[in-house]
Amino acid sequence: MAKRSRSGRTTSKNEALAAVRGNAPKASPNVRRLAAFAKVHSCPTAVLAFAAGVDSNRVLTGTRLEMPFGQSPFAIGRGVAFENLLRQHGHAELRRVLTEGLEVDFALAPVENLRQGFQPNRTGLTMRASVTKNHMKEIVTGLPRPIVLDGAVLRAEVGGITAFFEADEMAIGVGGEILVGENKSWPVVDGRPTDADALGSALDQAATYALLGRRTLAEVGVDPDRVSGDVVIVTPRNTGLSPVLHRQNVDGRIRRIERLLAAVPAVSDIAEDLPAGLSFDPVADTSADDDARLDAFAEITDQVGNVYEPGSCLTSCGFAWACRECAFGRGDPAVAGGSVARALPGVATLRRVSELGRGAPPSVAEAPAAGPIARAGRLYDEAVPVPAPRRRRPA
Amino acid sequence: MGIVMWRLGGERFRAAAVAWGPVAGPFKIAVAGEPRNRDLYFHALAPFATDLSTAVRAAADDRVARTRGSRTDRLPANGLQLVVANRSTVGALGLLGRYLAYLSDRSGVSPDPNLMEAGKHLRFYARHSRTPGQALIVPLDRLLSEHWATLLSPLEQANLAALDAQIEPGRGVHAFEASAAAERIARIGPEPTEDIDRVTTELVEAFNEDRAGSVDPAVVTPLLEPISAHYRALVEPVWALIGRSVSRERGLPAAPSVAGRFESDREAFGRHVDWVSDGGRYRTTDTPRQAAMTLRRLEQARSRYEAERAIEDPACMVPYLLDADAIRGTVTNLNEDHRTVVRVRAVQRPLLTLDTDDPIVLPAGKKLWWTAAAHDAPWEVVSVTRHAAGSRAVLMLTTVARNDRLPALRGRATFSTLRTRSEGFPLALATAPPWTHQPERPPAAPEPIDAGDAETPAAAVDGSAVADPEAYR
Amino acid sequence: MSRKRPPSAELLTKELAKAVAAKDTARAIELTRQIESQLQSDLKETNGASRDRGSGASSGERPSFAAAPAVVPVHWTARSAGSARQTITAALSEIGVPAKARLVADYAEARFGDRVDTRGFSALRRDERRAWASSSPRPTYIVPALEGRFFQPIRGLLALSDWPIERRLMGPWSERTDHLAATAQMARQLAWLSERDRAVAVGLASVVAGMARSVPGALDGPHVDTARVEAAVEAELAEFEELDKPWRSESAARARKQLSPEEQLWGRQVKVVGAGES
Repeated sequence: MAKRSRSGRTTSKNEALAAVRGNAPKASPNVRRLAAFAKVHSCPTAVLAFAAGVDSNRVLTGTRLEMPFGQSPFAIGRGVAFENLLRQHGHAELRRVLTEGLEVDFALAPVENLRQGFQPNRTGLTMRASVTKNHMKEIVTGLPRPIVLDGAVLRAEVGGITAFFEADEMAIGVGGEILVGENKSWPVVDGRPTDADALGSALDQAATYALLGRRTLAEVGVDPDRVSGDVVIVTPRNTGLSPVLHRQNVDGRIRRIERLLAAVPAVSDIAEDLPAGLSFDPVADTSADDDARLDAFAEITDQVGNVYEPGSCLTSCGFAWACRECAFGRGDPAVAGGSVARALPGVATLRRVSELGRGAPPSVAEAPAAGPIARAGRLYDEAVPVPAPRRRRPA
Repeated sequence: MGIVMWRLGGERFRAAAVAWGPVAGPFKIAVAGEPRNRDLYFHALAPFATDLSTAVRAAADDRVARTRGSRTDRLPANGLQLVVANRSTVGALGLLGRYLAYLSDRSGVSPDPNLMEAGKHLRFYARHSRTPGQALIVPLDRLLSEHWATLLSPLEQANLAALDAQIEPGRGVHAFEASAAAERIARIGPEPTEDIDRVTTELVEAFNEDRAGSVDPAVVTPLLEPISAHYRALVEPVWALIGRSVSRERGLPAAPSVAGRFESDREAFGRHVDWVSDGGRYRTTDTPRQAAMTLRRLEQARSRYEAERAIEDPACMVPYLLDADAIRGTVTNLNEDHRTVVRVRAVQRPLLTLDTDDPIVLPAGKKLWWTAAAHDAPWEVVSVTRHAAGSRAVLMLTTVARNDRLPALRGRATFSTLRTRSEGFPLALATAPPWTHQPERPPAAPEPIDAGDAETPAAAVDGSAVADPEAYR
Repeated sequence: MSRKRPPSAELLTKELAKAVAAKDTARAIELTRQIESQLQSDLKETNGASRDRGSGASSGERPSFAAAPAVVPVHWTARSAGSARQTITAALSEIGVPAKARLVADYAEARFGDRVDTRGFSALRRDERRAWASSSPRPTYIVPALEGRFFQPIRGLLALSDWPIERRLMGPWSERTDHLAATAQMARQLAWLSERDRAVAVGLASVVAGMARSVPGALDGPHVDTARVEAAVEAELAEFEELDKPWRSESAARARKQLSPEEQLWGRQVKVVGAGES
């Protein structure tokens, strides 16, 4: 694809990142990845992988540190069927569920289907983004009548990379506002979603999308708050696939994600500081043996730095097991969780925690944490006086 | 009774397989083949439903009397305890119960009442699981996390195999490596992974083709063999894991407060079975008043449970000591006959001096309970002064002396803010909620939960066939 | 179909066979219509006669069909591209509006008993385009419908080249409008067939039932009442056409101005300059 670079810097930045990716599996940014990335944004390796478009789920394929991902074909089939159901027969079900749930009549509303006719590449996304932006602008100038954009696309910059983000649907003109909608195929029962984790994740995605929508409006001089802080999740109701709408405010999530993304270092900063020859290529090389690949990964995290926190990493990044193993190898207290790590500032390894717990003299850096550790050690020794049945080498 | 469940991927109401039986004994397995077909599904679940209902009723039949003050209740001597691998299974059983308990008729035919009764039981167990300290339904991931300190972060603790591996890693293997290996290999459910369901998809497609729409057990049962074998192989390791974990936990001594908590469980169990016998109908959602009462009851249960844990297990008390919610030291002086003036008279209030190892800061007048008498009256802080490396605290008991209220002189004692008797008298909430907003019209009767059963099931789609499979998560 | 055919219909049929062999579709369609009306009047005669004679068949009563909308697993066998093309063309011209490949295939199977493998549709698309570019012209081509803003071809949505461009452009109301129009047309076709070919009508009834599912009031129970379907669909269609028609004419006017004749059939591939970033 021909690239016309805005400036020489942009091209060299892109080239540097493409070199970082090498032949490693590619992942284009989407709202779900962005929302997941927001959870690990403080990790330089995660930022690098995101900026270089590396699919962290697939890089370690074939090694013992490959994390399970992927979904049951029944679950995917359900998702596909639900999406089809909403769009069938000229979006009959989507109109119905929006009318019922938003109490605005969508029966005769125009539905711009941006999924058909456009090329499945950057060109198509650019055009869809342009159509989306124009529609969003129209709500200010024109009459706020109900209209649905199916497959709306927003163009946005995150950390200096421009990317296209596709929403399931956007309902425009609901009380003069724009509502972001996400389709999910887990059910809502008794008015409540059945899967709290999945709901949270869907709300994060929708909130990310709303945030990007507000930025788009700001770009064209429209009041960003015309994108509502309420988002809409369309799910099946009870058993079967009959759709129902769940509306929820996500202002808090929008603010949180905005803060997180603002903290993402600009890609140009990362690209400038990249050590020469750094690449995910050797990590993804399936012909090499496990150890060589993991060593290559450790190289990257050593040079660029990483931040391992199980609660965030295990649910967002495909490198989590690899980083966990490295962390354990170092004896990093972070393996036990973020709250543990935060309680031990200045103490480098678990072995050191154990020693301090038995009264070893702390250094100046260790002093603040050492007092409580020593105390805890004494208290535990008193509470559980019987020595552990197996002595093993401390981490 | 142990229960292991495997769902059909993404289908929250469809158990592709349910295994049940005495823990560490043989299990029976129910496999529907095509659980999205009502007839096949109900036919397969019937034996499970029957066994569950029978066991529940049998446990509830055996009653003992309990007298409290002037009241005598009849409680079940025991409750049927369900053991499952993880909290997700509890949720999955709860949804299954919600579905079964409210099945609607199809062309004038009522569903099997056994199924509906089993649904009510499952719903009860799932709701009861929210009560802190309850033991009627035991998710082993929670149990093991509470009993064992491991290197696993809270998120990782949801994997029973990983926990088990950390606790008993095997000779020469480090706990961390053992649990990492377990995470890679173990499949626990109830939600199947992609590799499991890729096999399931093929088996179910073949099964549906072979039965050609028939739901006649004579036709269907022989065709179920491959699917049953598939799920049996998935259940066996989980069943073994459950058995191993339970027998290990049984080897630990039970804390004294367990009996009291299980008595509350038995009471709730008895009430539930009575209600079901009366043809009980549950609301599917709480009224605001019910919700407020439930919340308060749960909060009280949580404080009590945490107090009991810390008081009975010194290792659990350590966090409170570190947070200065508890103090521990040596009793260096004990004056049983100390008297003080309360209002007009001088009354006996024993005075105790505690030398702590670490410095403490406590305001005068703060109330603390001696852990061995946490159900009784508190001690009040009189003074705290520096002493050697730690502090010297003087405490006064707020009631008269009695042997069981006084720690031994020169012994170690712990005093904390935790107590095990609820304070004050619980005020009943007003019958009508105090807020004036009510919806104008009562909400329409909800659609029956199984309305979608008639829909044709969606065709399975493999992740490799779609551009972005993660979008359907 | 009655075995005794009056001579005029038989002659027309011979003419029809010749026209089809010569690929003169327009003439073939005209002849078919003539045969149709001839047979219709014949049937009335026959029915009247047999009623007088007291035999079974009755007229005037519109049969209903136990058409529970069920999905029946069918094994598709691919046919050669030639006959597939004819089948698709015939099906599309009866449907009359742009239709998805799946619908065309289902309709064709119910109506003609021909099975078309939907997997062959993308190859068909390329073949059609090539045939258009070659020197041997055909009367009609199977073309993609076009999205109505930039006139890009829509994969999987089929139309015929002899339709005016208005009918081949898709706008914000067009999907629903076309669905309704197709449903109404199929209902009418079903009504007509119900008096002539019950076997085909039963198969087609299930397609119509599937289409009518999303129209409130069109279906009542498992039976397909074509009059009811038509009434319900036409009511909604009237409202949609009010919005869709003006949009389509405006879009068509733009298309005629901006597009070459080739592009008006096959759509336009748009390149965006400067779209490449990072």
